[in-house]
Amino acid sequence: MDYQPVVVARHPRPSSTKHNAESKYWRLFKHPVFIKEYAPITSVHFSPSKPHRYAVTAATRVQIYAPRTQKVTKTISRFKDVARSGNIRGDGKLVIAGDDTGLIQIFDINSRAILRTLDSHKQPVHVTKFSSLDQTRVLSCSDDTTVKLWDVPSQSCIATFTDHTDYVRSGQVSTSSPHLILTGSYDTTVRLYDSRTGACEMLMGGDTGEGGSHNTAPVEQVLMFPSGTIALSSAGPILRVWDLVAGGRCTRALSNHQKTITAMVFDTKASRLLTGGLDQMVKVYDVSTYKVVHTMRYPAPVLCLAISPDETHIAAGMSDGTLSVRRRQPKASEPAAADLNSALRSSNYESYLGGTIPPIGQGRVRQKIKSKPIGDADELKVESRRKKRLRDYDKMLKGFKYSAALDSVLRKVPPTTKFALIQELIHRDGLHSALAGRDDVLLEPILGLLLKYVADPRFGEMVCDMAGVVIEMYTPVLGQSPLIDTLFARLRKKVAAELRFQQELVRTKGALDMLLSSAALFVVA
Amino acid sequence: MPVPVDGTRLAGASKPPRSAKISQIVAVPPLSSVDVGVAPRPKKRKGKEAASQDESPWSWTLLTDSSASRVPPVLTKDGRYFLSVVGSSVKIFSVATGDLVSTLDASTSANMDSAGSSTDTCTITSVVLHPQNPFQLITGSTSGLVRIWDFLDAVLLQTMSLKHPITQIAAHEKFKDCIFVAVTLPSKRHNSSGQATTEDNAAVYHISLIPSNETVGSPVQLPSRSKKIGKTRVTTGLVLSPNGSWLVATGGHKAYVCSTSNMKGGFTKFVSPEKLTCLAFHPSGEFFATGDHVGCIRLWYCLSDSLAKYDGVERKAQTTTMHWHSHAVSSITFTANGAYLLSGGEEGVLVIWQLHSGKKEFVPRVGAPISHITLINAIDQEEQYLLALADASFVFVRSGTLKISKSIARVKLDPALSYNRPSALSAIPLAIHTPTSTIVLPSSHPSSLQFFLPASSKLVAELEVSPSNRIARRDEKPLEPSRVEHAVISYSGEWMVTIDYRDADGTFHGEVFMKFWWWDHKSQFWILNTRVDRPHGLKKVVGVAFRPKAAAPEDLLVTVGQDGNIKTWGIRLVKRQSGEIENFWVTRTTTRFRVETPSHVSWSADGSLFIVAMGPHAALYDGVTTALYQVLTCPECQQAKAAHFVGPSGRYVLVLGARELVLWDLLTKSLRWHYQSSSVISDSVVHPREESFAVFQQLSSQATEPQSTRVLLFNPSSPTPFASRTLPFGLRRVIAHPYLDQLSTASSSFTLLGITQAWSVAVLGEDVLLPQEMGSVAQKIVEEVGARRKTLFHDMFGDAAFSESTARVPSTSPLVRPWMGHEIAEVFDAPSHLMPPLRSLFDTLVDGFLTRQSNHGQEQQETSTPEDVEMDENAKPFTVETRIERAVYRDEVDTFVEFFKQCAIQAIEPGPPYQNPHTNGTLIPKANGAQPSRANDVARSFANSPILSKGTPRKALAATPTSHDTPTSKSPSVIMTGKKRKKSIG
Repeated sequence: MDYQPVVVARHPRPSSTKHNAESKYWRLFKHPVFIKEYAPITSVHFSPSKPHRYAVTAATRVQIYAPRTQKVTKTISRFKDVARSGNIRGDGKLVIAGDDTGLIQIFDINSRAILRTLDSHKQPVHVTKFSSLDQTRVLSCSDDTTVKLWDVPSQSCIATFTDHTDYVRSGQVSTSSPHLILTGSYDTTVRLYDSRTGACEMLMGGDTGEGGSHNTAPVEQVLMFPSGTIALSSAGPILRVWDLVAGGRCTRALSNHQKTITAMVFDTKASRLLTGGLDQMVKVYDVSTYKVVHTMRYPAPVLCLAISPDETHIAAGMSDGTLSVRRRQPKASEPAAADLNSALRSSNYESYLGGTIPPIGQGRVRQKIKSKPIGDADELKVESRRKKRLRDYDKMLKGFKYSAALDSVLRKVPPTTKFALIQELIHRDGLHSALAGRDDVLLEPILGLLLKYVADPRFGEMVCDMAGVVIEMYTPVLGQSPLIDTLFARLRKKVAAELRFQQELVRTKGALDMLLSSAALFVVA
Repeated sequence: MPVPVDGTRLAGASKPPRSAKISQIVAVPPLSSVDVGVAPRPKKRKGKEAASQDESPWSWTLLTDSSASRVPPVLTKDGRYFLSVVGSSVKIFSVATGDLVSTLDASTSANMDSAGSSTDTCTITSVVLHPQNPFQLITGSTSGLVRIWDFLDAVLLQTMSLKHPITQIAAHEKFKDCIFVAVTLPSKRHNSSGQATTEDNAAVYHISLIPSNETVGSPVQLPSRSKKIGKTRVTTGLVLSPNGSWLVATGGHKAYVCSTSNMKGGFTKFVSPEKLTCLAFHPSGEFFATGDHVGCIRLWYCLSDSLAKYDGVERKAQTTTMHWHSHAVSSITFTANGAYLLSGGEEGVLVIWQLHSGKKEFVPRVGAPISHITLINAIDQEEQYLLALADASFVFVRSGTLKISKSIARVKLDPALSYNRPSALSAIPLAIHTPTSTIVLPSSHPSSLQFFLPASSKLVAELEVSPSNRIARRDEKPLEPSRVEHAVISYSGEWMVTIDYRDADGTFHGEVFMKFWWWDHKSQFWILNTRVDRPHGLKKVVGVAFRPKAAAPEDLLVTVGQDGNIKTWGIRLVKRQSGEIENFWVTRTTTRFRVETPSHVSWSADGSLFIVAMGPHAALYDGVTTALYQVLTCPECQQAKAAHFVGPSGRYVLVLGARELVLWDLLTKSLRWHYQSSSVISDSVVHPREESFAVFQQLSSQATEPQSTRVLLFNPSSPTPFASRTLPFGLRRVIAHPYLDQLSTASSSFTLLGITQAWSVAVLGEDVLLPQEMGSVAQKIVEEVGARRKTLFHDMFGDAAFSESTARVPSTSPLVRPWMGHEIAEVFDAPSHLMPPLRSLFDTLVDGFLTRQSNHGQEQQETSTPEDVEMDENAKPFTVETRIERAVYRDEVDTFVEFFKQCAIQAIEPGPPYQNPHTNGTLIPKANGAQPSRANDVARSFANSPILSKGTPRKALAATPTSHDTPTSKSPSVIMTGKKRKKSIG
């Protein structure tokens, strides 16, 4: 009778909050590439048109990167001072950037030739953006508290807004109307200008604001929904949502970052909002609820953030001069659908006529079957039979070293293995001896395990049983180690939270039962 | 000289062994001892009990022994057979093949006991080989009888009564015709309740085997001389030192030592701190070893001639302690050279201690707790250790490699450990697999199942339903194993579902698994297909039933659990990318009926409906849609135990309560009749083809009494049973056997399969005939042909000369040929005009019924090539005494003379002529056991016995002892020449 190794049972995968569809999607942005620059990266901007090259502004240079290779394809270094806000036009042919001397230059992206120079700001220009609807207009915001709208062909200023009283560090032309301009300033206010009237139409925030709109921190970023009805602004760590239709009422104020939010960006459909902050985090919000659905960590404070229009790249510039680019491998069906949509939208039928009709609906890829080499009919195949080596914990179980076996699975093994071993220990009546006689250093990983899996439906029951044993065993020595005490307290808190959750579930189930039974009655009647 | 006791067995057979018991319980007159149908089998396993005047006979056959041996197995001197005690019989196994060779059954003569004890108390407690004659066996039993057997001929030679229950026997060749016997004595002290306490009073006697003059002629003799050596506690061991100078007994906390030269001096007692459990004497040194119940092994160096001075004083002695075992040591043995000590216990680990260094080696995981260790010292083989395990299997361990070389497993229902017994409430798996006609039985470990083929009485396979390491408990608290509670096989035989349950033990939750196993036709075994965790939560699953095949091709399963749910399960097919189709089981529907807890589920014969018994209701559901059709409520039975459809039409529904039977007619939707039973109904079985059913009543009896069961047979037409039978045992689980009943004569009779309270498998029914296992009756030990040693004849004439003789082996065909399968019978179900012509069917059909002549031995002989052996001419021929155990007839002798002549002329002499004074069979036969024998003799006489027995049927027992009486019979023993091979040849 041979030793029977521990059988790791397979469990159905629970849908934990950690691994929901949302986080699964954002986790697809893997393999971050880190590109080192010499100075803090002040701006990253993706070209709205294919191939979605992106402009990275750091120190006195604007660099154009190719998204596929993450290599610099163009370097524009025509600035005397620190360049700001490199921005690519919607057709992907022009680049605009300002610098700390107040000079604004427009380049051809391919030849890098200076096409226009707009030089009227006296102070550093932090925002230079093309208007997305009117490709000949450019917005610039400067530290001289002015906001200007330029006409590129004539190289002249169309409108100048001077209502801000401090640096204007953020601004955007509305994507729904080429006349509306949203700006945020260090005077703690967010203003909406109309180029037709040439005046400030809406004032949001500031010291005088009431309730949620009261703001004392300088506004770092503003962002407008594509529909142009809701604006977002960040001041310090607080994110505010303004309803422009309701006259600039603050509908929501959120504080999920520990430090100042320095970057805000929408995904392509504007269904998710990404914010980056000096606390080295990038958070993803669902804009329908403004709940954080995912969090990404970065190695340094994030200064700027951009997501590619095809949602395959997330680029973040950091204060230590590192550019991080996370990539996602798009699914086979995805670009085709996008192509089809864009082709239809642009009424560009060439691609159809050219015969490259993309597959509509779910395609099926035929699997390549490797043909096996056919041996001689009389050939005898000797099967190599390797003796299965026992795992560490099996070896220890074989030697009845229960405590060591338990310790060996507390390291990096999947939880199913951990709990399979614990189950085996229970079968052998060995869990008590495996848990007994531990000091705080050895007890800590066990409590950590309990804490981690107490709410897991696969192992919760076993964790409860085990926690009962641990508590019974170590109650007399409570209060001797602050570490263990904290862990016990956290365990208790988590159990309480789980109980509340279960109660909630029962309530929901009751409500659903009522609905269903009343619906059944309705059907009968 | 052994004295024949002819009359013993005949007298035993004619007396009703259980009459007193039966009459007391069932209140019927003592049964007349008609043994009509069982005459060919002298074993008492088959009995017929006529319970009352109107009750027709009801026969039963036990298929398996229930219990494991509690007595150490004894090896024959030549190491080719070992004897193991099961209850009241001694079973003889072949070491080479592991087959059961013969059975010596003492119980048939147990009623000789004047105390009137029943057969149950007559268990054999000790077995030793006769010190002077290695073919004889001395057994001692709890009924106080010492029996001497000749195990080669399976003859009881002598019975001697000592009047007290025997616990141990020791014998030594130094003491001729004498044995040392430890018996328990009735105590003179009384405990608080006024009853005598017998547990701690025993004595060791020195008994002469020569009967006293008055009782020489009687079947049960009294010893001529009996001398008490001393009083002891109840002994756990009794040995004589190898040189015969010391007698050592252990009992309680003490070791009792007596010098055999000074037996009048009585015992000197040495005190051990713990209770002693086993004892072994060193083969050469003057010390012995004991094991105690906390796991210590002690070597006692206390044997000196100065013992007598301290007569009767309790003493401490110089000991060496060796401690590894954490539980009681169950057996210790010294190896033959005395360098090692083997010990084993509940851990299931054989520990080999090197005595001079104290170093240990282990043979771990032998499979079950070790109960006994015996050495096998074959002449020309490596030393082996034979371990008798607590689950009634035997394991051979080679001393050279310390690896398990072989294990002999037989059907074992008896739980290996007493605490492994499932509680009375839990169900017991029992099912029949039709394609292979095997029976699925529980095993000694509750988490496995075993597959038993009744046609050949063989254990086919064992399946571990929930694999686990069989480790011993840590402390006193027993480990909780998972238990298989249900095993149900689908009607196609392709699927088996098992439910194993591990109880919650205070701190930890329990586990329930439902497992679906798929029958792999290629490997002929079950493969786990689907595992369902907690099919009904943590509550027990109380009913599992597959849909009968007739309804639809796909299988469907219904389970009901104590959580109130009724679930149906179906197969889901999944096509893999590689194109193969995988199937696994998923839940189809879940439903429940009010707040009732279901207790049983069963299908109608056509598979369209299933019925669930719960509370006072029986609910009828559609098989496919699980729509509730009808609820039958019977207020008479508050808690319905089961509900069955009766008959193939499924018109009637039988609902079973605690003491009630209710029969419903589904056509009229009315209650047809109602039967109130006087005693508790334990179970019911519906006939698979007829409209009748059997109901089992447990006849109320005290816990101490052996239980009995009354079987009532009903028709749907009337509430009065048309027949009533009794069985002398309680039944745990009964199922109908659909195919075994074709073995019986009456076509409409029931044949049932049950597991008794004593954990043996019984086939019940009218005139049940089953083939019996080879060797399950007392018979002469004949040499298996293949394993026979080469004799001189082989060398002279070559193997081919002997191959013809094997053809004359009388076929030991069982009484009934094994049933080849149901398929043959189904051939004839078709109308005759659709059948192929009979002549094309005839051969295959008849081949199916004929047992094939075994030519196994012949093949083996032909493959072994004749070899030339050089002979030592200077070797002196020596005389070997022989035993004549039967008369040789004239024609037999003629055959041999003819044969010998023929061979002598035709065969080429392989070597130089061999000087042998006895070649022509002038050897003078000697009496059995009259001379001191060598170990070789056994082998030699074994080697010849097949030739002797060929052509003659097994002899009646009554005739055989007479030949012992007259050993100098006139028959010339021509063929004994074969014995004159010398050692150097082999």
